[in-house]
Amino acid sequence: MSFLKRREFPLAVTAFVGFLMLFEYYFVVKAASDLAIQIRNWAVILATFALGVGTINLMVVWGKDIRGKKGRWYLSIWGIFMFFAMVVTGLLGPVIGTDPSFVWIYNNVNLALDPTMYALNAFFITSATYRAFRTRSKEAAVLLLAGCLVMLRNAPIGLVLWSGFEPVGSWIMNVPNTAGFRAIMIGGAIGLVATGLRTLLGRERGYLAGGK
Amino acid sequence: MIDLSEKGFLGRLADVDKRILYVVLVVMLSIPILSPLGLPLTLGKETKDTYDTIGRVPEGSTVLFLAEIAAYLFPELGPQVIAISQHCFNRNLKVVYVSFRQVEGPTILESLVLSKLDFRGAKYGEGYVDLGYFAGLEVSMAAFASDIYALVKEDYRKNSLDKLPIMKNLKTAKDFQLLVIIGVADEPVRQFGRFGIPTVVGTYAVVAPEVYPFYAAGQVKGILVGIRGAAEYELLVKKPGLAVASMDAISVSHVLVLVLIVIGNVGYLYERRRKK
Amino acid sequence: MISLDLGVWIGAFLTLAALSFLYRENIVFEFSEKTFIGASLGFAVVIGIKNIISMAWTPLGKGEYLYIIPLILGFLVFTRVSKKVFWVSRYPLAIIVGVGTGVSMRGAIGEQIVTQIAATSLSVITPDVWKNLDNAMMIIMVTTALFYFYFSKEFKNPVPSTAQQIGRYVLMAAFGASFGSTVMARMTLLIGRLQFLLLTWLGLG
Repeated sequence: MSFLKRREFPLAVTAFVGFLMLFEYYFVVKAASDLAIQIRNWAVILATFALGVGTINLMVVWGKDIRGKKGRWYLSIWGIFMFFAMVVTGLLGPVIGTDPSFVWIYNNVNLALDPTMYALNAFFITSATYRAFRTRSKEAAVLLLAGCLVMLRNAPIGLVLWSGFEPVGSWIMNVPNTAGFRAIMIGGAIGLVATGLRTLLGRERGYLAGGK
Repeated sequence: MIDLSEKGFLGRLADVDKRILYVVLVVMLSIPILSPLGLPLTLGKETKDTYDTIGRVPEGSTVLFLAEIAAYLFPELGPQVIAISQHCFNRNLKVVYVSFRQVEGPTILESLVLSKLDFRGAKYGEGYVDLGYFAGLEVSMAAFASDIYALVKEDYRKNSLDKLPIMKNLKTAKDFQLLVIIGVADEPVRQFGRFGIPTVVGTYAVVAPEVYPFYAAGQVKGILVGIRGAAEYELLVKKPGLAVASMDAISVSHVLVLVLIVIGNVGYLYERRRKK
Repeated sequence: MISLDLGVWIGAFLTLAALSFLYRENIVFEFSEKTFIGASLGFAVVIGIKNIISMAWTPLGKGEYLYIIPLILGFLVFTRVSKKVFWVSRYPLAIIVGVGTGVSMRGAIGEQIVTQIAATSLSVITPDVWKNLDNAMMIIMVTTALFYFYFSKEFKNPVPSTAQQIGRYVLMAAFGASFGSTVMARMTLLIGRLQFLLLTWLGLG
């Protein structure tokens, strides 16, 4: 059974499954299509299991902090408590994830903290635009000008200051912005296809992580 | 003459403690929140196109609604989902909600979105349904697009699919007459684009610029851009809410940022000239 | 009037705790951070369990015995945390990676390469002069931006050098638009929290 430890077998699985997805897309063969549908559904189930791997890793890290009494280790105990509070309330009732206590915790904890963590960026953007956003070069000036015109289009006050901000901002979004992101999209998609081919051909092995 | 010595006025201005800036920001935003300014809002072409696209879908059609809302996206996407959903129900369209990216999507939908809608007589299971979240992003999208019943066994409320009349004639993505994408558009367009379903996107402002290539190419018929798009749509469906209420504060925040950019750059340019 | 709802008070406390980071890192912020991480992970696990039951366990119970395969493979994913048997997790991951790679490649070719290139093939001889100008600019901008991506070395010849320069400016304009949009996005989140604190919690306005 030690031969199963070799990397060639999972690489072969990746290649088979990946090329099956491509074959099924371009050729109408019922047997291939049926097999592809089955494997895709299994992959969704496997991806669902993968949600739990990060949890285990974090519990291991927090467990080490608690055992070693590192830093504010008692807060890790609180974090683990919150985790189990969500899991226990979530599993209550006939329909998982709909118990009022689970929804209550979500509405008053997650819905308060998640946007707040991201809202901190609003302060950092304000500070950064004031202290660091400088027109040091022509490119920076173009970036700044485009950004300012888009902001004046997005904010209703722009219309009060000058009615031209709407068409100018709209033009920026529909022409240079579209052109720039189209180029990025095409380049990125070509990169995705190239990396995908390398993965299917076994040249990209990062996901195998470690071992022989 | 302005003092341009080492720590002149402009030099000191560029060195203001960032915590003072934070306080200024909070105070300035609080004013329009407590006392709205009532600034006018125009209708962008992208929003109008979204509204018209949904308006052209025949009554009784079924909409595939990717409600990819997370807690940190709710301020922008929540109002979009509410406004677009209301438009769909106003037009007697059937809506199938599902999520492939945001694990929180169905929970937010059930607790914060559906309660705000006027279903115009549509009943759960017949006029709308919440199929829940499926992990795997593009994998689950591809699985859903090719065979819904093979992937989905029950809805979010644990009803078997065969007991839901709305799901009766829905076997693949081809059976939908409209696709509403809320959130990032790349992966849904990649997976559902080939079916040729009219598609509209409501997205958060950070990724909105990346949706414009799809809009220009006609793959997406309309875009709602962040809170601004949500506010415009709320006015179109005559259901002003959170988004409209936020626009005055958006104006103030943008003016503040612009003023800071100007002050910062004026100070910088003077310092540069002084050093020369 | 100030809210008497316990949930609102908890939300307000946690919001202020998270915002305290702006002053400096402190125990209250770390408390809010751990609360958030624990609750988010717990949430994801609950939905994961829900989905596994509905997508695999329930059909298995109804006689669709093939679902035993993804169920077993799914549990094998957890061997990733063990140093001794982590190689077992390569098999279920190989399936996830293979399917993900295949479906994203096929979609990218059609929708992001072919369609986008076709959409750039615009006419410059329509009756509308401004449309002709916009279309011409679009063709030039996309081409030069792509040129800038793929040919990163500096050219001495003025033609490719100018193309690179134009491409750079196009990308700067796109990033500027992105910046302008990002400001609105981040401010929306802050405004949302302030509305919650001022209107919902403190009952002002």
